[in-house]
Amino acid sequence: MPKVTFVQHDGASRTIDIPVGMSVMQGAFRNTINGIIGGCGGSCVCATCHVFVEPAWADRLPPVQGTESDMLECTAVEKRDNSRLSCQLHVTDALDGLVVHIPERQE
Amino acid sequence: MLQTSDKKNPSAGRLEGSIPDHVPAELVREFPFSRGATTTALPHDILQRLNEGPEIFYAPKAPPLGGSAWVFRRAEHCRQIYLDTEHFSSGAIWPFSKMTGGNWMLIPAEVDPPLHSRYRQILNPLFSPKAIAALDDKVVKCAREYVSAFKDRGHCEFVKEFSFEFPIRIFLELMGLPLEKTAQFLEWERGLLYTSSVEEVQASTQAVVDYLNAEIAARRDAPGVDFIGHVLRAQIDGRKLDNNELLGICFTLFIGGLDTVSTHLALMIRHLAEHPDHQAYLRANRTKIPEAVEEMMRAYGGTSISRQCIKDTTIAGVSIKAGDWALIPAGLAGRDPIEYPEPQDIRFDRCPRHVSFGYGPHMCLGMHLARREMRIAIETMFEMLPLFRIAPGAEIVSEICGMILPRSLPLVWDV
Repeated sequence: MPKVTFVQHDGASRTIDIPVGMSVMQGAFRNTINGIIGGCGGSCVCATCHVFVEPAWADRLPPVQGTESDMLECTAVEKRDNSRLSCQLHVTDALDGLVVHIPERQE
Repeated sequence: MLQTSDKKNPSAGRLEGSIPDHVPAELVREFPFSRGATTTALPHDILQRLNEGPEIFYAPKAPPLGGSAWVFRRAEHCRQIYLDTEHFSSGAIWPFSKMTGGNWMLIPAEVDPPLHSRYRQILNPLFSPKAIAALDDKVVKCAREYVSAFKDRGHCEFVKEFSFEFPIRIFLELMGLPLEKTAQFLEWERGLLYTSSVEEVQASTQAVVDYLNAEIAARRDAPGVDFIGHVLRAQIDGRKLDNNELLGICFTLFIGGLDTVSTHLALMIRHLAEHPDHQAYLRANRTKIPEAVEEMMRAYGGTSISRQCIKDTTIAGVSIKAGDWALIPAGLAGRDPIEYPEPQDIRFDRCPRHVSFGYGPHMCLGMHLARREMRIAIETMFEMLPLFRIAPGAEIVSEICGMILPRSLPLVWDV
């Protein structure tokens, strides 16, 4: 099963298994990873599942589209080039080893 | 093209008292709340007793207006329904348009995906975490004004003197509507949401519609920088919004922002006043206030949301058929013992995932603003007052229908 590593704002990191097809946000939720809220359950309306994708991985993800792009303008912490909404990142085998950083705040 | 739905049944439920043939008799249960009802008990204790019955039940008379509906009390089922827009529609869940012979709909609240998100995206930037963070100073200033008025007195009626007006004040400013009309808006709001007379709802709805239409017309040529201006400038499919769309959005913003925050704030302050140990803990640990707000949102959800089944489905073995209505009372879902063990215990470290702001694509647009207002209101009360409690001998009466609202909250403290 693909592994995804979450790095907290304070540097603490945790690696979890997320099944292919599940979103990074859902994986975080099921494994009680702090710092990702994703209140709307993946509907791309709340902008509280913001993550910074480690640069080495940023290009390997499907590109940002429409609604995700709009919602990235809404995040509590200013978006960066490597910002994504983790509810829109669905795990594949090619993403095994993905590393994401969790911003200081989601609200 | 937007369609309005069935004008014959405005009640967001099947005809009151009617039980469809496919509803098993053992699942029929009365829902304890109805329009115009009140209680002196703790409303959420009343709701929690429903946990003794079936996981899904059918109420012959359910909020908001007494039509019959399935009632869901498992947080997991509620989330499922909120996400399942293929089987559950948000169309015609509110009666306002039909009651005034209109053919507009509440936007985005009554619009299903995929069209839903095109409207929602117009509004998301106004209410986003980023946008709301910029309002802190305004919210703090407003909260301090209200508390300043009573802090030296040693007593207040919290609903009338703070929670009822505070969120409305902030919201009217954001909308660009005149603060001088606060009292008028409160009166219309009461008529819309709290009276039991259909005539009053109709009259209030018409008054709000007329008012908003006038505001929209007056600003067309010079939209301004407030929320209404933003909506006037918005485009969908490369065109400006038409009159029905503008009204539908403004009306939704109007009712969405009025009494929801005030009721939840009152419910939270009531809890803190009745539990001095919890109040003392938060006073000593101010950084825990946001988590406390979430836990109290979980335990004291004050709203109910309807959906209509548009395609036969099954939830937990129960057959829900097209045409059936579903009621999701946040106050009940938040007391789901499977999701939240010992649900009557308020534990500030519980960090629950609740559905009091809804879930899925329609999840409360104003939730970031609401959270901020409640947090700041509580912080301000702590900052400017010593430990407060319910006035001795006071009986708290709560209105219990689709909304749960304490009518008054007399507080006292030492000066």
